[in-house]
Amino acid sequence: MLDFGSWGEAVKASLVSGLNAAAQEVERAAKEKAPVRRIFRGRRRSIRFKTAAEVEADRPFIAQLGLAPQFLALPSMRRPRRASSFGRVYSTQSSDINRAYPGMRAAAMRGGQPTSPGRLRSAAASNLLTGRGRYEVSSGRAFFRTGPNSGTVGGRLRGEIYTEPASTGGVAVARVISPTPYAKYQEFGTRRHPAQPFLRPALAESQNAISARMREALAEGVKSPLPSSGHIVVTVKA
Amino acid sequence: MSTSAPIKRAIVQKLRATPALVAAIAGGIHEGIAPRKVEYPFIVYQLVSSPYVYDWTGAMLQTTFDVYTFAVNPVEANNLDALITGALNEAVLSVDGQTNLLCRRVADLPTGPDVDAAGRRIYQVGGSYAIWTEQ
Repeated sequence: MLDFGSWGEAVKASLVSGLNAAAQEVERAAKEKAPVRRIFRGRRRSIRFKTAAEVEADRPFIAQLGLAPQFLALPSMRRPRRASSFGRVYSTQSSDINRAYPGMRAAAMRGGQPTSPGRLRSAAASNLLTGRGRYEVSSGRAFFRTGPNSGTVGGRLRGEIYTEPASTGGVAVARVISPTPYAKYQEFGTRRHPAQPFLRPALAESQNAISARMREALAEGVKSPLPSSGHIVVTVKA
Repeated sequence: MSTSAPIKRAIVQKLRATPALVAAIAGGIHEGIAPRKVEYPFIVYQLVSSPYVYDWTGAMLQTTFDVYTFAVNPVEANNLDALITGALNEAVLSVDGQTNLLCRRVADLPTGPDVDAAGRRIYQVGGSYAIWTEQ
């Protein structure tokens, strides 16, 4: 007889680990597919606001050009009377395009509304944002904190998706959860809003990745060393 | 290589080929979302996912569709959902350019009552259907 107990446990642990890896693949796919509110005009992945450090670095350059002073970020700066240049707009290929306006970030760290909703009333900012975008940014309603000192405007649905890993006891179930209250309305739609499914398509399109992860996990688990001690019993029937 | 568009047409054709269903829905069948002033009840269908699965013999399309009904009372909504299930579950769809392998209801939609733009309480009842076709 050979005792497969410990070997079986190793295989099971490996399969659970593979299941958790597969669930993370589904989570990643769901985050890619989760709809994000559109607040910028034009191509969604082409514009971001400058950070406060970039504004400071550009200030001498802009002064040399004779442009109006920047009103970004610093509460002490006065609001310009006319629509001034918003400053250079950087193109980025980063997926995190909704960089918080610096004033909004400061407001979010304080946990409240922006100090001056009118701060965005510039022609340049108006051109960058849609009507919905101006409301969302000025009200702070859609601000989503992604870290102690960072955040985005929008992206809450995507940011809150997480994986609940499977346990090794009993039946192993890994879950990908979207806890946002309006997630079900996005997934299934309502009378007034068409459905924008993101969880079920992520699962459906990750089947190959899930199979691959489970195969890898099984192969890894089976490689575990078999128990080296044991004995063979031979029975002879008379 | 075909897409999920013929499958959508096949679903609508199947629903319209059910006389009891056609007689019951005053607002028609819509994709995605119905216009605001459509009369209740009506049916909405929506493509959820449509991954292609390739093997050595060819390609298969494993689509999932949500088909649900909106009505002003829950009994009517549930009755219409039952008619939809009768029409689509285990049905043989006639899909252009593809061979229908299965059409099966796989889940109920966990949707509850809502209020529309006119302030009426409406009920959204339906299910998800897996439709596999061979290219």
